[in-house]
Amino acid sequence: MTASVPRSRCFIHVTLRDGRPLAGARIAVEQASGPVPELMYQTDADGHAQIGLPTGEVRLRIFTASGESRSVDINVGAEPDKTYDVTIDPP
Amino acid sequence: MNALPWSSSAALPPTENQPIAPVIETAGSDGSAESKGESQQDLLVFGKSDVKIKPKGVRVGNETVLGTDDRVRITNTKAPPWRKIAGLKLKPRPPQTSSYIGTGWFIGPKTLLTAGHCVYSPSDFNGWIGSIEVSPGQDAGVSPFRTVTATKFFALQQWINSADPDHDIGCIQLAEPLGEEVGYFKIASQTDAELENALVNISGYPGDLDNGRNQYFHQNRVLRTSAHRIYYDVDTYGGQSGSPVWVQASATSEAVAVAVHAYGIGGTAPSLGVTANSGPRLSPEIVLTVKEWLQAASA
Repeated sequence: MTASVPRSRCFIHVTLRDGRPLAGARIAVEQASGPVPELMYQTDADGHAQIGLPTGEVRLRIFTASGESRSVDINVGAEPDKTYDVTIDPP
Repeated sequence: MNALPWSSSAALPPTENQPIAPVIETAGSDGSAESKGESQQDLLVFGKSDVKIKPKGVRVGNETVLGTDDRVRITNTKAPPWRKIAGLKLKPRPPQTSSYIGTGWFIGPKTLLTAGHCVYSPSDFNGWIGSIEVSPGQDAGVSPFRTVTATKFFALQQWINSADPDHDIGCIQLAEPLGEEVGYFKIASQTDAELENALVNISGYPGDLDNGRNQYFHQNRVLRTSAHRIYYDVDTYGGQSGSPVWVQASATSEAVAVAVHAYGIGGTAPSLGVTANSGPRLSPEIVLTVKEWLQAASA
């Protein structure tokens, strides 16, 4: 069995290099320190998504509407409800 | 043997359900809708195998396409069993505005099974999900049947209380019997001996391909079982949470779902010694609980 690992409520804010929010982006959790459900997370009109993540290094893969993707690493701390700003190059 | 405790998103407590007989399987159906065109049933695998269907490849991260990507798009989702599987769009309660993609599958006329985290997750959507758009056989983003919105959900109490991956199973209740048209899977608890080396089929809606708008299928072998989980070497990705994991003895026998896909390789403890994706197993106790959910839907 795999013990449950607490996941903190995190907010991911995805923007393009020019500062525009990336609405409707799909986000997968590719790597984390504990089990993360195989959901696909989707940003709102302002580029925000809420994701439960375990603490430690997390690798996200962000898919644009055209199907291209970028991977991004974040370090999730113990504090809850933190917003992680992620900037990616336009596809 | 008793069913496991569970909770409902609705106001009615589960204690209103009556005790049920200790059977460990449910009935399946191919549905009443007409089926035309190629069924793609040649993709399915049957029975058991002492060897893997393909060699283990190199994998990066917790996501879960194992080596080369062998997933196949299902193009005729109007045919069974594919139409029994639904794309899910999860919409949290206001004020949250982000959304989620998952997969569910019919187990009765008004009932779908999915992962517990598709209906209840404090960290993802602050508790119970607000509503779920259910699109059976979704293809190119559209259901060939119709999309219905569900607002009533159940989940195992162990999932709600402790987010236990071994009990990550939830249920979606519909107001209309769409499952009578598209059909529904039989579920059954199987023994370790029955599951050893069993070939399993998984189909769902991965978000890395076609924006999560199309159904993709893959198959391979059970690598290991525990009392509450089944581990398999089948390619999956985010968005396939809640997909059915099913076995079939032969091309002419009935499909039997034995687990609910929920986790990539990050959900597999290193001590197990396998690199595998996994899902909570439909144990006898859980099948009994699911029968209570089916009864609740028909009440």
